[in-house]
Amino acid sequence: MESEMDTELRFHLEAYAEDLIRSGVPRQEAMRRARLEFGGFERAKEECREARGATFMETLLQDLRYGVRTMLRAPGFTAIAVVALALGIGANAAIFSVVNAVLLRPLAYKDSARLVTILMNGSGPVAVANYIDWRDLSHSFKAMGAADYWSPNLTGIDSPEHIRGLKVTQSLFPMLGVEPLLGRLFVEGEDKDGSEREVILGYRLWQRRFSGESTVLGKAILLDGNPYVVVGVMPKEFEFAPFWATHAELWVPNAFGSRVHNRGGNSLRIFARLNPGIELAQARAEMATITARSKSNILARIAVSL
Amino acid sequence: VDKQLDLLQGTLDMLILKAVSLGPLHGYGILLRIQQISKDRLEIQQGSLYPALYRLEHQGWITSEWGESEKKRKAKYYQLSAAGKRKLQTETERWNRMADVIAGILSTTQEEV
Repeated sequence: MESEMDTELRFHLEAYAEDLIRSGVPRQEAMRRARLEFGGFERAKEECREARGATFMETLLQDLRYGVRTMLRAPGFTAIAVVALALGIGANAAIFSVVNAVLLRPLAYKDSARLVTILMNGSGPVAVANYIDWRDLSHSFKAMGAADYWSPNLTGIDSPEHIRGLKVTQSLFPMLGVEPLLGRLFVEGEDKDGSEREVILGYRLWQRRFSGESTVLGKAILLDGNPYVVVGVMPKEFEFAPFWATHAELWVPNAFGSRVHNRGGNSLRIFARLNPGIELAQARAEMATITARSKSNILARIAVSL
Repeated sequence: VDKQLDLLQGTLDMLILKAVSLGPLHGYGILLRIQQISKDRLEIQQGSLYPALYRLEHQGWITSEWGESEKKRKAKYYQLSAAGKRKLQTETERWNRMADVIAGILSTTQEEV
C-alpha cells in the first residue's frame, strides 16, 4: 500500500517534469519545479493515508515501530508499554488514536497513569489549529498542553553549544504535576505572543554550563541570539518529554502566533490529563467526534485565476 | 491578474468526479483535464489532489486500477463507480440549486425586500 502510494505520486512528479521539459525547461530545473509545485510530498502522503482511512494494523504497526524506537532511545526506562487504540470514524474515515504511554518505571509526574498523549492518525504530530479545537472543545481532559521540538544555539556564556529543548505551553508543567528545584514554572501569559522570553533549565544543563549555582536565576542567556531570562531549574529526576524528545534540556514558552489558524504543518505533540472518572475509550470517542467536525471545515487548496 | 480563492473541499471532489466521468484517468491526467475544461482558469494545488482521490476512493465513488501510461509506465487509473455517478448527479443538482439561491440573493433590489 505504502509503495503503491509512492509509485503513484512519483509518477505524477515525473509526468509533470516531462511536460515541463517538453515545453523547454531544462531537465534539472523541471524536476525541481515539479517538486516545488506539488507542495509537501510527505505531507501529501500523510493526508492520503488519513483520507484512505489507514487500517488498524497499519496504525498499530506505526505505533509499535515508534515504541521500539522510543525504548532504544531512552535506555533509562526499564520498559515502556505503548497501548495504541485506533478508531475509524464513519464515512470520512479519519483515523484517530489516543496513545496511552504507561511507564512501568513512572517518571517524576504526578499520577502518570492518567496522562495521555494525543496523536494525529495514531502516530503523527498535530497542527496548531487542531490542538486549539481539541483543547477548547473537549471535556474529557482536566488539562491539555502542547510542545514543539526546538534546538537553539546557546551563546553568551563561554563556548557556544547546540542544546536540545522544547517550546511548551504554559499549561504543560502544572498538568504534569511537577515542581521546580529552583525558581518557578511558567506563569499564565508567558506563552502569549511576544512575551516568550523565559527559560527553564534541566538539571544536567544547569550543572554542566552554570556550575549548579543558584545565582543562575534571573540571569539572561542567549538562545539563537535572543535573550531569555532563567526563571527555573528542574530536579535531577525530571525528564520531559518521556518519549520523542527525551533529551530536552531546556524549556521555553510556546507562543503560536499566526499558527493558530494552521491545520497543516503538523508539529505539536499533545499531552493531556484525563478528567477523574473518564476512561480512555470515552476520551477517544470524544476526540474522534471533534476531529471529524473540524475536518469538515478544512478548505481544499484551489487557486482560481479570474 | 491571479486571484487566490479558497473553495470548499466538496468543490474539488465534484470537479474530480466530473473529470473521471469523462473517462478513466491517472492523477496527473485528472489535473490536466480539470485545467483544460476550466480553460486554465482553475489550478489545483497538485499535492492536495491525491488526498482527495484517496478519500473519494475510500467512500466508494471512484475505483482505481493499475495500468500503463501513454509512455508505457505503470500508472494508477481512476474511474467513476455507479455510486459515484449518482453522487455526481446529486452534487451537481445541489450546486446548481445553491448557485441559484445565492444569485437570487445577490440580485435582489431594494423594492423586492
